[in-house]
Amino acid sequence: MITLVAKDFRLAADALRPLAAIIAGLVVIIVGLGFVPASLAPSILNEFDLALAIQFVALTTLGLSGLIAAWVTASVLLGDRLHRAGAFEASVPVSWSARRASKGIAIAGGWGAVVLVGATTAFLSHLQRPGSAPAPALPGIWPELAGYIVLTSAIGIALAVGVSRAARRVEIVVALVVGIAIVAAFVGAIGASLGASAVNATLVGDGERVMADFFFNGTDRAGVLAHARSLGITVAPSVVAIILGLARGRFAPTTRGRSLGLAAAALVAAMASGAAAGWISADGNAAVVRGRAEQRQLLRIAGMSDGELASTAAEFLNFRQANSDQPTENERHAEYAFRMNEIARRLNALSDEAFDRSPLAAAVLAVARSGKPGSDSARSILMRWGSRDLRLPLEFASMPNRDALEWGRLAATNLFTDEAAERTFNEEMRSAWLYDRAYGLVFGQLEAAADRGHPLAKELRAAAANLRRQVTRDPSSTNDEGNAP
Amino acid sequence: MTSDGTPAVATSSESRASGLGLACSNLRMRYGKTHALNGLDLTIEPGVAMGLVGRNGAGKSTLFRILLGMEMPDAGSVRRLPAPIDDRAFLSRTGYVPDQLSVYDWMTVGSAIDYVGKLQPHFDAAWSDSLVADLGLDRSKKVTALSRGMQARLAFVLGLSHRPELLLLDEPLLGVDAVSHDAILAILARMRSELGSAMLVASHSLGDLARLTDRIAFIEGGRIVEECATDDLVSQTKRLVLRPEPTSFKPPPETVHITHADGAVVVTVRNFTRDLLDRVRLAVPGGNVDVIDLTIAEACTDRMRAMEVRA
Repeated sequence: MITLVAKDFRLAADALRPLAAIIAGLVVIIVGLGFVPASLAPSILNEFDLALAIQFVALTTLGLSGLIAAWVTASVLLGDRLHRAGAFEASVPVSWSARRASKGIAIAGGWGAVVLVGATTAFLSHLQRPGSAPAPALPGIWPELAGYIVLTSAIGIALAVGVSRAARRVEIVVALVVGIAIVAAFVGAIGASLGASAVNATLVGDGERVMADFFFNGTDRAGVLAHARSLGITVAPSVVAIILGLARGRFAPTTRGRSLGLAAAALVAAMASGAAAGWISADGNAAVVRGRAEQRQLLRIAGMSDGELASTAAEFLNFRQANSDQPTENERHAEYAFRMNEIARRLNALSDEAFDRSPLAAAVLAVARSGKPGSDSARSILMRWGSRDLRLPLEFASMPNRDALEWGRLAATNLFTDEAAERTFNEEMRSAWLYDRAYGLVFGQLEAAADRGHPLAKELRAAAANLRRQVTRDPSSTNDEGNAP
Repeated sequence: MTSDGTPAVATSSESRASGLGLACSNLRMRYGKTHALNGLDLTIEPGVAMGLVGRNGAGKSTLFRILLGMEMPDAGSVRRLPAPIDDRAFLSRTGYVPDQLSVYDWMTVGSAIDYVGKLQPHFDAAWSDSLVADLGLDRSKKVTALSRGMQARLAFVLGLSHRPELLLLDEPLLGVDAVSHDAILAILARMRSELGSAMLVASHSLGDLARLTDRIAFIEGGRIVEECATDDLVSQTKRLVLRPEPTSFKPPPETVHITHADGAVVVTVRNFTRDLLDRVRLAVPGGNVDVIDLTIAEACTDRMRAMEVRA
């Protein structure tokens, strides 16, 4: 009896093996991801939750359980013949009751294994890592996971048919096509991901990956990838069918090696086409198109000469709203904003000596001096590298203009070498609701620096004197919000 | 081991005196519109070796499946001789060697033999080991890695390792090399002589049937169309060459097959006697009638040609 039961369990394993492979693979992935160091982890892993992942395995098992249970039953009942051992089995003297009992035990055992795996993973999904929040309840996110469960089930079917020794000819072909489709679907997603990632991978500037946050947050990226999967699923099997059909007709492989070679070629073609479909599909997404356009714009600006950028500053100073629609205005403004950022990036990269010799710096400073000192544009230009040259803020702070206090504050801020002191100064500035208090803080800092022997002591005192005169003229005024500006 | 190199057959007193046989009566089996068996009657007495000769698709394999209980006939019956026994007892005393090895593909030679050993109450481990050694099988080899000939040898070991009283052999020697072929025939002959095992052997290797069987049955269209003693088949089947070709010739009732060649009529007859020869000579006055002895292969082949003509 034990011999018979062992044999029937072996038949049941035909169906259980794919499930075990899937779960083992998922567990390996989950455990592997769980141990990825935070410094190496992609941003998506920041939200990775072990319990949720195990819940996913439990759900996958649940989704597959009906299929696997049916498969176990069929494997045990039909396995003798499917393994071409029907005559062998029929020729050994075993009573029908023993045969039935053995198969019943194997079927029950197979079902039990499925239930056990599901129960274990369901139990594990309730465990919680120390310090982490409880995983969201799966029923709430079931719609999002349903697609993945269907996909996983499809993988299970493909694996089960592919792995099962009982499968023959047509089933293997079907499994191969389904399997390739699934692989291609993932490859399509990878292709789309690459296509999308390429947009923000080569940003100019200091390496900020602003695109990912700006364009691919939330469902937008998911939509891109889902679209790519659909395309991959559609394209890859078609390619396989065409290649296999044409190649078999043309080459009619008669050896196992050639058949395998053909299958490998079809697989590679399917993966390539799936990835291409994903890449192309990413281009079909509005967010990606916008991202790519901005990337091209940034790269174009990065390639502009210093002379071109200097003239940009002059244009920016005289920027006026045109009589065009809002999107066009936005594009114009973005063009200037990106150019000014590029100017700032170039000037900030210069040493003090290089800055003093830089024609671009001289041109931009000249542009700033040529405009009204209190204009937003002039301030915007100088604010981008305010720490570079203290003399210009002091120059404007020494002039009788309504923005002298702001220039003085900018100059005072640049004098700090201690971050804590700077922070205290800024907090006091924010809480000073009377101008005289704010002015006092600023010219106090300027005079203190001059007293400490700053190289620009003369300019510092001139600016402080200008600010004193202004506060004496109107000692009780406040700004519009009742606070110091 | 015996003097001729074949393993000695261990004897058992249990049930050997009575032996085991089969009697099929009016067996009918249909697959769709095809009649695999169409009123087949065949009796294999205990201790008798019966050869089964027929063209492909004549119904031989279907008959074996029904005898083993793998399939139920549409009509007719199979009785176990000399007395009714249940299926389990029947299988424990019957050895089946199929035309293609039937065993689970995950098994090795050794595990397949062990599997049978655990389920066969009459399994003889020493006898099995000697069969494995004499047929040159490697117990560690996977069955899927065996050649066609090696698979046939393993099928023999699996079918014979419990010293069966009835052997059902369905094209058992396909693909077996000459040395193993002789060894297997010697083993079967020894089982016949020492155990008195009955056999039903389906084979296209007619020379083997001459060496193994007592009787030969010809199957055609799912029925036994002729049955005779193997010795009689050889001694009483003659080929008569009538020369010159007579203008009119009425073949005698004993005619099996008739052909025309080189200005002569060639008539194969069964139950050859001097009287039959005289009757044929009267039909060709002035001509010659040459009598040619036939091998069993020629005797069987002419019968199968006649079946083909009738079909």
